[in-house]
Amino acid sequence: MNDEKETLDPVKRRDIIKNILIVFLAVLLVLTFFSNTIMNKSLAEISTERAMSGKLTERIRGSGIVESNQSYEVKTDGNKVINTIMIKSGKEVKKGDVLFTVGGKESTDLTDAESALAVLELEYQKALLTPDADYSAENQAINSARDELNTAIAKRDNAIANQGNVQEAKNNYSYNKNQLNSLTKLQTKLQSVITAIDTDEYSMAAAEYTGEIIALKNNLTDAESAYNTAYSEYMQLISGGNSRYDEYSEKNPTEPETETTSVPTEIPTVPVQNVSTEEIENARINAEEKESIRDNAKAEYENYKYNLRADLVNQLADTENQIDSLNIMISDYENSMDMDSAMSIDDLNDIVQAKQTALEELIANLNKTKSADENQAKIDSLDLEAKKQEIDRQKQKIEKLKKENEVTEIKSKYDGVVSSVNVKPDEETIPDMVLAVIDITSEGYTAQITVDAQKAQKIKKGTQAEVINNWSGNVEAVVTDIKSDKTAGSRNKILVFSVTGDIESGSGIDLSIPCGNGNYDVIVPKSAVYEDKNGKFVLTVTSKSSPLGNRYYAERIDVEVLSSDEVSSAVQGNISQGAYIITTASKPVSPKDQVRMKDN
Amino acid sequence: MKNKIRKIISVIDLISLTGFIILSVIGNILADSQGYNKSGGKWDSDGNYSQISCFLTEDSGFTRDSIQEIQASILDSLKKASIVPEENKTLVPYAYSSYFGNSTVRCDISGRSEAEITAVGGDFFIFRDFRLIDGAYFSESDLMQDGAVIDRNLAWALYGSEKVSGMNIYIDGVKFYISGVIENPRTKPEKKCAGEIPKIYLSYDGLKNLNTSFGISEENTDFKKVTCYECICPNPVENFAYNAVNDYFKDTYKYKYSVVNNSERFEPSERAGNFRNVSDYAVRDSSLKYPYWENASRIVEFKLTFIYFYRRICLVFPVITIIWLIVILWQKAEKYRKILAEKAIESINKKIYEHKQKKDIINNQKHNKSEGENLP
Repeated sequence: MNDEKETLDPVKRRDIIKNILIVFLAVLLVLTFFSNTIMNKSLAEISTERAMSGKLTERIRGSGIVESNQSYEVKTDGNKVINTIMIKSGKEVKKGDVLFTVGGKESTDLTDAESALAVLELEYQKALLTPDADYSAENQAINSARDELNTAIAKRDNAIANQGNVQEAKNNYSYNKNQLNSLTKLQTKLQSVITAIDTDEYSMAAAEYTGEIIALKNNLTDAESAYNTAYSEYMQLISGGNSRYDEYSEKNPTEPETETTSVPTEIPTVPVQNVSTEEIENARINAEEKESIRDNAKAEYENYKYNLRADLVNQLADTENQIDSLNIMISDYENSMDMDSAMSIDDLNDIVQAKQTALEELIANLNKTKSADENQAKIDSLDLEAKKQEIDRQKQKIEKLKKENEVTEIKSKYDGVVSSVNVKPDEETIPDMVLAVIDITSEGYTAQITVDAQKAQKIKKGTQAEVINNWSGNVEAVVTDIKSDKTAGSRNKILVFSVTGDIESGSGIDLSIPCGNGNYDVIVPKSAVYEDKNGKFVLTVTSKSSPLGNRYYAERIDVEVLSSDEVSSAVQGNISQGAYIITTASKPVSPKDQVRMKDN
Repeated sequence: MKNKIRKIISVIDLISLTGFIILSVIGNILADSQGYNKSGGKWDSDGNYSQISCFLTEDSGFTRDSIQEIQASILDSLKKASIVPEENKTLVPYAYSSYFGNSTVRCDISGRSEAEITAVGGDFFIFRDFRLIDGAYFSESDLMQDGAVIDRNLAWALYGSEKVSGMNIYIDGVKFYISGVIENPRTKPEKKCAGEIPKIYLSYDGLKNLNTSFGISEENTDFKKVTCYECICPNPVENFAYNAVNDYFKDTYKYKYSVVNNSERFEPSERAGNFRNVSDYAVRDSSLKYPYWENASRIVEFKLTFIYFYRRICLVFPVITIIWLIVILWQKAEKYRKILAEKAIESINKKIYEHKQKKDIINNQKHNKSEGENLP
């Protein structure tokens, strides 16, 4: 390297140095000439607007639908067919102008109306045939009740009049009853005695009617017993081998004879051993005596019994006759004395009262029924009247329908502008169908806009709003009313505008409503107002003259924003009208930065 | 041999320093490209404010009604730090927004286009680095809340022009007017994240008119939903603003939010130090859906993490070289150090002597002057 330096020619070295100096000076010269241009290219390019004085108006914007203040709906009453439509939406019409021509159509309405009329007339005729009210059953019931009442009254009166006789009859009745009881007992006793006589069993017979028969029977029994004993002894004496005795013994072995027996008259041929004939004869005589006694006692008993029975039978017959007589008397009395007769006068009075009440109820019910029937009759009469009127109306309707079917033109009733046409040719209409809507232009148009209540405070009635979509140029809108929004929970206000000009109902309208304006000394573009920790400020441009021309510098001016609209802000500060305000810059600009103006 | 080593070291140092410079320039350009994150600096050029963003999940429950709460919470924190609002000055500007949905936008003529609707509130346009082409931004103080800010793409699709402020647009039949037209996203990350669908920004109040169309009722909180809250907050001490915002969200909206300090997110030390956590960007553990500007910032953040980390690496060799040179010089210059030290001591002594001399002369002059005055 040192060798290279040593070999370098001094002349060549001077040339190199000279060339370097020339290049350096040339560059310096160029930079000097273009310094301003180069510097300008490095500066932020800005665009400015001048601060102006004037009006600044805050505006509220909104959109609404234009509605006619009054519109007229063209309707048809019947079923028709649209033949021709003479109008279209937006067309101006005069009163009397033909809007539609319609053709008659086999109206189903007319057929229906006639059918309805027939039904109504039938119902009316049926209503006329309604029968009158029949109260015969109720009257019969009342008469029966009245008869019962009269009977009860008569019984009561009779009871009051015959109060003494009744008592006597009652006493006789009681006496007869007692007599009957006595005779019945007697009858029973007599029957028991007769029965005892018939059966020869007197243990159950009344003693007072048996007389001596029991004693006679005892005598008979004793005589029988004695005879049997004697006979038995006799038979014992003669029984030794005597077949007759054996036969007798076999015939009456031990018990007393119940039938009267007789002592044999012939002594057996074979006597008993050790018994004498005398003894046998004595025994036979004794037996025959005993037999005789027995027969007498028996005859006496039988006679007495016969007589006694005949006597008792006579008594019994008398007694039964008396009993029958008493029974007849008692029966007569009881027949003559029914339940009512047995009642007291108070009971009879109660019965009379009850019958009276029942009768009154029946009469009241009848009156009530009659009253209800009268009312019903009135109602029926009114219904009949109504039916008659309905029939009349139906007849009128039929007449009208018949007439309507003949109508061929529908005309406008008012001057106005057609807002809408709702039918097409050959379309069938139904009753009350809206064929077209015609805005009555003389009544004007309205539009409504809902705005925040706070904003609405800045708007006054009568304020003219700017119509943004005023394509025809003659539409005007004026605030006519500010009313509350009735929607639940809404804090909005509804601005009502009167809209005039070439406009149709149903079209949208965009409005800009000025809400207070003021004159301000300095108005700057809204985008030119910046803010930092020291508050709001704008950047203005100041110029300084130099030999190479004007130089521009950004300058910060603190401001207070007084009011703003969408594009401008009115400010107050150390700024005057006409100042150049920096609105945009190609790169961030700070106060005191040099800037360059945008080439126009 | 020594010369060769020296040359190699010099070349390496030169390359490292060049790399450092290049990476610094690239990093600055990238960071500057995300103007969204510089609102704090715009608001206060002294750098005393921080821009904090908070992103929330769709179901977080954070709504417009919550905005006043968080503002009160932040102002309360500032009050404790003796920072109170001044009259006519905003102490903590804020903005909130939420993606609302896509819809077809029509104009007065035949133009129509699909657009992505974002509901915005507060000082949204102060925070965004939009370039306004035409018109102006709408604000909450406007009388009418039917303004819409659209991007250039939508303006062209509808009207074939970008100067369309004041014109009408219709969303589902509801009319809005174009308040302003903004430039399309400019940087590569923004374009990537914003997609092809044009953007339209509407106020929350203006969106109420769309309730019926979007099936939203007044009672439904969806139309009040806020998924992005931002504020510019005084930052008297480090992380004050961040903590003030984070303190509000950390309890109520746990796991449903993410807070970002935009003012510091692109700081070289922050990014280089975050290199070890760079893998976190690959992890999606939340249902958070970021707006496109935040996604763009995250892309830049990711890139800057590598750039600033490698930039730091580039400094390693030059620093070692400098230290090595200092050591060698220290060793070689021992005798010079002694001479220098003697000379320094001598110089200091000389200075002290001269100073005393001057002081004595002044004192003498004063003394003489006072004696002269006392003479009759």
